[in-house]
Amino acid sequence: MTKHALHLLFAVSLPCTVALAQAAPATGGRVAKIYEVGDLVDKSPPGPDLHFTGTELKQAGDRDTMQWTETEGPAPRPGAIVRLLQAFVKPPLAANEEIRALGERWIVVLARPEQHAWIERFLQATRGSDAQTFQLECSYYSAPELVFLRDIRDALVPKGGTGNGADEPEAAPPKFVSQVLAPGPNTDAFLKALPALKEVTTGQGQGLVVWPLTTGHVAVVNQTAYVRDFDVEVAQAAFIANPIIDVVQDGITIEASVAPLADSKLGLSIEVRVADLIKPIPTFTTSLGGSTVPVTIQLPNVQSTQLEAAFELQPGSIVVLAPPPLAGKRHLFVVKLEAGAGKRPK
Amino acid sequence: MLPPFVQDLLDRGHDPLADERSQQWLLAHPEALEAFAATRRVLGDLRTLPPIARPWRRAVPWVGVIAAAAIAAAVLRGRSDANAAPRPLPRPDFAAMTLVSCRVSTSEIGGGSARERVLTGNVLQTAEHYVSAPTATARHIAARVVEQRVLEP
Repeated sequence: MTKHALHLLFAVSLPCTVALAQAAPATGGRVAKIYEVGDLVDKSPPGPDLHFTGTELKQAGDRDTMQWTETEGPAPRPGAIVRLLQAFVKPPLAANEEIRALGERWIVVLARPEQHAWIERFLQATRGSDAQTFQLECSYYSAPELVFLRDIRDALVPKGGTGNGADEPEAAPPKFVSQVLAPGPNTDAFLKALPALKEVTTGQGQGLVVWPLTTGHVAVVNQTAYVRDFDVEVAQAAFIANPIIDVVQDGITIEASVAPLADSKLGLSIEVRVADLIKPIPTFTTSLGGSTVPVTIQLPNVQSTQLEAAFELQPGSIVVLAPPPLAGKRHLFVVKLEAGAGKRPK
Repeated sequence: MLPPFVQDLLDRGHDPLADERSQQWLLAHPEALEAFAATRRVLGDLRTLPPIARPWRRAVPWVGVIAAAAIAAAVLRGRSDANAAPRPLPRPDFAAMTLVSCRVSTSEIGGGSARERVLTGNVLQTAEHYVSAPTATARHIAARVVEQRVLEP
């Protein structure tokens, strides 16, 4: 289905959805309501929106043969606003209450009146012209899982905890890490020692500057072309099979958005994603209809792991995230959040 | 140049002048007398010297001891490295637990769209949801839901 067809379908279905939502009867005091947040979604972040794309210079080459170019990031969506509202709305959402993105400019909320009031105040405060900017210093590292388990994991487990707050036995290693570090000499020592480990690979650090509720985006992805299918064309006695080339991506992605909360605290919604394309790409040989000539197509297999989290932080805090291991490697993301001094343009 | 049988006598510590064959050879080769006399004198002087300590023979045990000690140290060090406790990074300062929510998922996508209908690949997603109470001091996972679903056959 083309993009235009999707837009047409959405334009037709949206009024119906709005009407249904606005007219939805209260169920146990819950009310469905749609919020227009296009002004927040469309607003570009004041800082760079970094999206690096790598293209392999030779087939089945290693990462050293990549050519990196900075490209345009994905279209903004209200996902960050949704995650922040889901995390921080007061009173907290019950199991039968929900906040979801609706298209590219709206969010729909099924909640109690007091929650709607909180959301309206929250959005109004965020739209204030005196809002600050927020700086996110993003670094990422990768290490073999054995090195992570041997040298890194224990440091990220607070005494008496398992690192992710899970009620798991002490012997069971945490599958992921989501910790908040306080600035201090010990934290500095940890952050200095981490990249100094021999087996740890340090990625290119990036700084993001975002407005409240806008999404900062860092992506370092590899693009690999593959033969997805064949387009068969029969003309008279000729049988033509044109290969259909598609592109599969893998790499890392960081998306983060920030919102001011009460008591000078900051709400951080962050999503880190790691994808790995298994190489070499498996192939499949078959024959096309009307011909016995065998053709070979490629079946890419992408494994990915992602971690979404929301934190309530003091400015200057440092978030360390480590999704579950992928292909024997553990990726660590370190994000430092600071309040800036910028003002939102009118 | 002395003939081999004379040199053989000298090597065995015998006096060639007491050997009749050597005497005849020296009479037949007077030009070799001077060299013979010098060789006989030097060898005779050597025999009269007191036995001297031979450093290389005394060094052998010490070299062996040192080598054995080095090998033992290397072995012990290797075992020590192998059994060494993990050397974790310095523990950082942790902030008060402020995690509000966390969702972790791992997915594997193979095959593709229906266009590759001849393929056997499918889309499988395994997701683990961790949700905690949205308070600043939340320290425990309130709910844990593990779901596994096939998104597309």
